[in-house]
Amino acid sequence: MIQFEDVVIKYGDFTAMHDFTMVINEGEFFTLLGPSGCGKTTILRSLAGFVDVSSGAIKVNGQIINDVPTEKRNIGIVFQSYALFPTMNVYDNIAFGLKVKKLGKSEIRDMVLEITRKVELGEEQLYKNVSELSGGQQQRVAIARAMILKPAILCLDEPLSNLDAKLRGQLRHELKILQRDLGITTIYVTHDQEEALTLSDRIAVFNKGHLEQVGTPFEIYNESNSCFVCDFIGDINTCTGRTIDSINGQSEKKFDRDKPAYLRIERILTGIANPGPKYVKLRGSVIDREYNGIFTKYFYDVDGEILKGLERNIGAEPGAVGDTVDLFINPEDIKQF
Amino acid sequence: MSTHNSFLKRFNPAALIIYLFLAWFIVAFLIYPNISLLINTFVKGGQVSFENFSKLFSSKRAMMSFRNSFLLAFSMVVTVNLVGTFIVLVTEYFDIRGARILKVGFMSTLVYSGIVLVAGYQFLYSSNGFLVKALSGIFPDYKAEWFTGYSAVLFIMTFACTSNHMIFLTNAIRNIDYGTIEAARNMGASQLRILRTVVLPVLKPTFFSVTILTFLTGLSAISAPIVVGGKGFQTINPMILQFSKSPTSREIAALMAIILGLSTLILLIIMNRVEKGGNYISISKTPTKILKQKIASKPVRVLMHAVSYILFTVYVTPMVLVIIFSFTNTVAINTVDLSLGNFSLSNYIMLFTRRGALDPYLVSIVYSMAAAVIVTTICLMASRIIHKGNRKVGTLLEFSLLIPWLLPATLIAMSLILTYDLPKPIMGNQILVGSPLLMLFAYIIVSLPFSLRMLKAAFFSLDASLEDAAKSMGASRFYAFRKVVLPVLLPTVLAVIVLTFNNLLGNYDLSVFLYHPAYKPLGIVIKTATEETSIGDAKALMFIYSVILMIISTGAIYFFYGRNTEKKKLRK
Amino acid sequence: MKKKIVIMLVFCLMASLALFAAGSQEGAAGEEGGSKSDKLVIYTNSGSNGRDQWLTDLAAENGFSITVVEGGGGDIFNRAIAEKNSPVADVVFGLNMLNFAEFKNQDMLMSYTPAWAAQVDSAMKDADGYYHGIVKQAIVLVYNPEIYSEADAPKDWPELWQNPAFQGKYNIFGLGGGTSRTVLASIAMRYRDDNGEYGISAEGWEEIKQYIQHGYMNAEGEDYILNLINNKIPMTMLWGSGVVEKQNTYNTTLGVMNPEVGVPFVVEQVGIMAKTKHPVAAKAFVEWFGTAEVQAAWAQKFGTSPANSEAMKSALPDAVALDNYLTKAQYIDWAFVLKYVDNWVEKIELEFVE
Repeated sequence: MIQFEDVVIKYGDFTAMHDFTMVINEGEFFTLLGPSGCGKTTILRSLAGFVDVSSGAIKVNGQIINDVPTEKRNIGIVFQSYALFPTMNVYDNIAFGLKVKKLGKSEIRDMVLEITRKVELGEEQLYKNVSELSGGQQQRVAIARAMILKPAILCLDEPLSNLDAKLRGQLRHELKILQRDLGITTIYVTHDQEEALTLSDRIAVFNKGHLEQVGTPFEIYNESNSCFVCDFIGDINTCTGRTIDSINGQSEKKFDRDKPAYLRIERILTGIANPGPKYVKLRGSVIDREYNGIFTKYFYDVDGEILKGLERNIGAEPGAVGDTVDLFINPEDIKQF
Repeated sequence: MSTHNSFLKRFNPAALIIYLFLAWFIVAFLIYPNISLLINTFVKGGQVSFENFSKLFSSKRAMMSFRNSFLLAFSMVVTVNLVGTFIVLVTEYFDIRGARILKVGFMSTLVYSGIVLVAGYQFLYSSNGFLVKALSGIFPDYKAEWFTGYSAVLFIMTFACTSNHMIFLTNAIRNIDYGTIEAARNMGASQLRILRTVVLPVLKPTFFSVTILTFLTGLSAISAPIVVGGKGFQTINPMILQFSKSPTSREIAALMAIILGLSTLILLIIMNRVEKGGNYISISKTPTKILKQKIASKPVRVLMHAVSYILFTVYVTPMVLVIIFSFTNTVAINTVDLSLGNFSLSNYIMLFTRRGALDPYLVSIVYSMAAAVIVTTICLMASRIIHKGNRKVGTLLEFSLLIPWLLPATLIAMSLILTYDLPKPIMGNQILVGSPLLMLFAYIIVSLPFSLRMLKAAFFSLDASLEDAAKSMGASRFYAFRKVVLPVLLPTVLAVIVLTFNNLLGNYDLSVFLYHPAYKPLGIVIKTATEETSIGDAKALMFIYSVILMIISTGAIYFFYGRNTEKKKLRK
Repeated sequence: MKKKIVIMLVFCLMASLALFAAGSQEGAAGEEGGSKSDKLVIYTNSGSNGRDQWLTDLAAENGFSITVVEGGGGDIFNRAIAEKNSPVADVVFGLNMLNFAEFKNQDMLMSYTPAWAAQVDSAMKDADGYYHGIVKQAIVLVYNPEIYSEADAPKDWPELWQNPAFQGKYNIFGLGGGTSRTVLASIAMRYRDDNGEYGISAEGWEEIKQYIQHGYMNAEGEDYILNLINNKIPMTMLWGSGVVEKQNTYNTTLGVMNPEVGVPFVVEQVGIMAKTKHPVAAKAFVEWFGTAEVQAAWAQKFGTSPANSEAMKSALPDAVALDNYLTKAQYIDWAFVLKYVDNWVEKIELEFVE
């Protein structure tokens, strides 16, 4: 278990992370999510011991590790740049930590071969220079290098960010399986919300040095507790003034017309007569649509405000620009902060 | 409690020892001797004298010399960067035919420094030198005085000072991620545009370092102005050197040195500021090796080839002439007479068959190599602290180690003698005068600034996460440094060692004051043998020694540098 | 690669240790007084081109163990001065009277009069016996005899700038060197005025300014003898043994100016450092080194003119001929010159040199 208790991190006068408290459970796949510059990498670096916390405590299994030097923390890290040692070949990169521990040659060899199989790196790659590897292979080396030491915690700093989309998807899946097999507590830093939602047991969302929300992917998505989280995660409609007025006119639940109200785009229902008593109805005309095969995303003009909605492909021709549509909204789905 | 703990965390006996060592070294060798020399110089009978300020500032010649020094330094920043970048580009970046041969020619300045340079350029360019002779043979009205003054000095200095470009810029260009060039080209950028917007910005840290070095070299130019400056273009440093050798005038020498030093300091501060403004580190995960660029336009290609080979000639000619004429005698050299009868091996034979003739070589090689390795080690430690440690400590450290740039060699030697001729607690009450270590210390001291500047630049272009990665895998700071950081920096480290070695090999200015009777270095032998008033074949000996120095330097470069890069190529 | 680095480190460590060990060894030697066979360190500016080796060998044959430290004259002088608290040198030779007078001023020398001192003219040694002349060097003006006949040639230094025909036609060496300083001393002696700036009258300064500004200063490495032969700059200052040597090297003849006031002589001296740990050996060495026999051998080997009148008789014929031609020595008050010469040079460098 990892605990951040009232942690503040400053670089000189600049506060990189404001006071926050957060718990990461044993064996969890925990993601630090946020736009770049939000402080997520800083937290990772403080956990790894590259950055000192200015106040508060970081505990691992109840022990404060603030003053434990990096090399004694037993935390594996995969860097964004991978940081593979350019002067060593693949084998020496992977074996580095074992050599530090002064293990025997044959023992090292066995362990390297084992981890190489696990990360699905071909044995013929072992004696290549790291600069001769492809991006995917380099990532496997970086992971193997971190995992071989059987760290208590594995930190991954945007490990997929420089790879092409298809490879990214594939590696993401492998990473998840590997983590599940090893049962290792994993902290994953990313700015990609889709990656976060699909991989994580729990997610912490950060913004401008503040911790916004911690929760499961379901909670983060459905029970976002701030404007920022709403905006940052998934696709959302932001309703204002006139739309809020017409909702207030039909609903028992009232909303403040001076603040934005948020509504997930897939929660706007269309194409049915009447979904239920709680629903309010708005009229919108289609001004644009994006068809991707599985869904069609519509842009509706509702009284001068633009709302987005999704329609699943059920085999019918999608609606055309200019069509007027009934939009049903459950006021319970609307969030205002 | 927390601060106490973090102190414990940071407390590392090895680091403490390094900090203490550096602090002692700086105080004992850089601050204490120089400060006491300056105090001795300026404070007479408990009073600071200002008489020399007016003496100096009312001297038209001194003021002109200052002006000329700065003019030269600024001009050189432009010309040396132009030529230096050009020769690196044609040997490393563009596809030029015969690049390998060109490279050897452009590298010649590496073995061609100090007295060798003076001998070569004097012979080639002085008013009764080879060039004048040759040209006046072709053009009867050719005037001997043509090659003199500002433009002549600038010309010589430009071609003499591209060594740093050749080594450090070459290293930097090889580390460029070829992907970025391909990407730019893919986006339709022209060759010139790629060069300007993609390649050169990545080289920025290196440009900073070599620019600073170039500026300082220009500011402290001695030989070229003496040889071809003529009445019209004398610089300040020859004057400082001369005055620093006379006890009476040492005050003025120190004053002039301080003025030069302060301007150097201002430059360094400005440069450090600007440098912090942003360095580019390759963020690519998969850097690809750079491929040579074909020049698309034919006229440009022809032009580039032509300029390359003209430059090649400029670089190689003095060296070739020195080698050829080293087999003749003084009169033949002075009269530029290539008749066969003048050639003989007798001077070579005499130099090498004399008893004990080889000792000075051994002494100089041992001293220079030991100093080069030690100074590089010290600067590695210091650069590491400047790069990663407490910022204030780093700045203090950096400027302390640059002190030797501010003072002429004579004064540094003097200050060491005057300070350590009596037992001083800081030196464990050891008298250094008369110890063979004294000259070693002095060699180390004068080599600090260059070594620090180049290593610091290397550190700043290093991917910091390499060290973090090593630490996260359990490596101690020292282990990570040794196994990960050092190997990455190795090309620069070796280059710094070689250049320092070559610079020290023929050193005279320091050695003459400090050398131990039993260990006479090469610089002394050369200087006394080739001095105007010495008996014997002075000029011819100068040429022979030049050739020998070039051979030793070439050997050093090959040992450290050549083989290393070749191996890399083979492995690829 | 790793191996190479290890080799380098071991090498450096060993080199440093060796140097350190050598240093401590050095310190351990030296009982009070010592004996004739003690190791001596000799400082000189006349050690180049095998002279140091020649002397070391000859000394060894005669039971002395010496190590020669050589360097340019100014540098060896400065080094000795800087080291005065713990001198490395036991004996210094080859520096001129100016340098030795300064050593004496700073109480660095031991008074010792060897037997051969009687054979040295009193003008060429210290009256109190701190240093004694060994080699004399006349400082002269030489000219191209094809340009100037003996009658046309200048008769004394001031003519050079006072006679428009000679202006811009004579070469001056750098003022850091002994030759150029001696010429300056010779000129300055004529305008001595104890109330003037640095002991020289205002008129004298004007003359010196003319001297500098009408002269040509050769660039380093520029061959002034060639300039003389080619009639570019047909006159130059030169030291005595240089006259002989250059005539031989260039296979030419040089005209030598012989002023009525006499030529200034630079006399190279020998002296013993007061703080030497080996006074017995040092005295014995000086006693041996200055003898007519050794000085004559040195003169024959290296073409010098010994200050020892006995030795002078057996110098090379050319040197003897020159010595016979330049019979009169100009009187120069070296104490006066010593006091001011650095200031003169400084003033000239700052104000007169263009």
